[in-house]
Amino acid sequence: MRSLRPLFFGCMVLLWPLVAQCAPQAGHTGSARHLSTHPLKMEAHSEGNLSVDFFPLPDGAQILGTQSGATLNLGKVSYAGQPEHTGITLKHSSQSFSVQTAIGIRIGTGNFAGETVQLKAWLEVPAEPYHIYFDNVPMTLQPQLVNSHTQLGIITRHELNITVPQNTSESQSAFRTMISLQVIRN
Amino acid sequence: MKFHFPHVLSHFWKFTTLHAISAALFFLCPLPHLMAQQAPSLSLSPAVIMAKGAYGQSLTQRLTINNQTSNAFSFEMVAQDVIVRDGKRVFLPAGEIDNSIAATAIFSPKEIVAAPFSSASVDVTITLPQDTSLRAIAAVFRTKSVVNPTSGSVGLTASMGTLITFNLSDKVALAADPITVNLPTDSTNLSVDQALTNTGSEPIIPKGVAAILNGKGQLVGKSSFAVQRLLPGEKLVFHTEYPDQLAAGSYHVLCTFQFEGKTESQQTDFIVK
Repeated sequence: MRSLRPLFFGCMVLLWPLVAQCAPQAGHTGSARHLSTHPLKMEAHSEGNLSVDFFPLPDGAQILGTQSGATLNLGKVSYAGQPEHTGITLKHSSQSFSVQTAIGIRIGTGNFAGETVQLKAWLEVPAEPYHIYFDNVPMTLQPQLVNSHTQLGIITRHELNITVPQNTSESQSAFRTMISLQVIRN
Repeated sequence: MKFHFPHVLSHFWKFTTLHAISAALFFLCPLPHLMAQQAPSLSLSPAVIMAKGAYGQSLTQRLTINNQTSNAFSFEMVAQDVIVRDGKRVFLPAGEIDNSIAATAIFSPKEIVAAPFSSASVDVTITLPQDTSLRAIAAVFRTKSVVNPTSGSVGLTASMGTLITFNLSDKVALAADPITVNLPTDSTNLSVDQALTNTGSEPIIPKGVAAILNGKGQLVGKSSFAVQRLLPGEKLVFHTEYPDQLAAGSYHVLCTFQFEGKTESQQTDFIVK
């Protein structure tokens, strides 16, 4: 008796392209109901990175620390005396005097071809009776926009101005403050 | 006693020595660059996430702080909505505006510590409201005080945020103001400014070129505009400079911006004396 096995395999070989063509369509039809609803997840792609570094400038105050946290050392200043450290400028008026210095900030390292970030700044703690200005923007406890288009990848110059009322008492004269900066790519 | 290489060996010696020196130079030359890369740094990755989808969908992304410094940094995660008022971006605390996207942001964990010479990651999951006109949020790593200023000093801390934008429809449109051509001087290049306003509903990143044609209509040169992102309602001036000298004569500048498969063009004439 002759085996039907060769005939079966022969039919399979001949019909295989037809079966292969129909299978995805069957699958597609089956999943069409699923595709009619939105997928739960969004598609996304990401780019770049951010970093913040502080740099002392030739005409600025001394800086301790550079990455994301730094301390500007202003030293002792008074209405009558000269600044203790270099890079500090005193300006006098009848009601107050102001302490001015500069700092360099670099946001991002690398070649960014004109890309920019939003730079905001605010005080961590109240600074009364002092008035603090960062790039001429008065600092408060609320974030303030300092520059909406700060260039990435280069050291930018920023000015700090602290106005000291002349009637500041001895007990209030121990000045220390904290400024927070926030950078977000545009 | 002197040792002499045979002639062939001598050549071989020179050959291998030269190759050794070349190889050493090849590996040593990039050293300053590599050393610069390995300088202490604290960085956030990614800086921008661009998502596409539909209302009601969710997005989960990993944000990483890489701390290559000798200090530990602590961060608290904060989400802010980014809106546009009077053509300019404003950052609002989560939930301060109706249909806030930032209010849906869930950070896991909510606070992290990036130990020295290590990285730390936070997963953020955002679920878009069923209806919102907002198209961007910022996921901010708010640095907890890492400095303790002494008397007579100012402490500075920096926080970094990832901008996350959402494209939810194909309603993209752009309005262009008239072109401003700034003629070259002894100390400045010719520059072209073009103010663009995103009048659509979705964020766009227009990519533009200014083509300069002479009086005969022949292309003299072209220059690319700096790429900027425009959120819905936002207005920005796009700027480009043409560094080459232009001979005296009449010219025509054609500015073309492409975005999401669309094109916006403006043109004007100018004279170089």
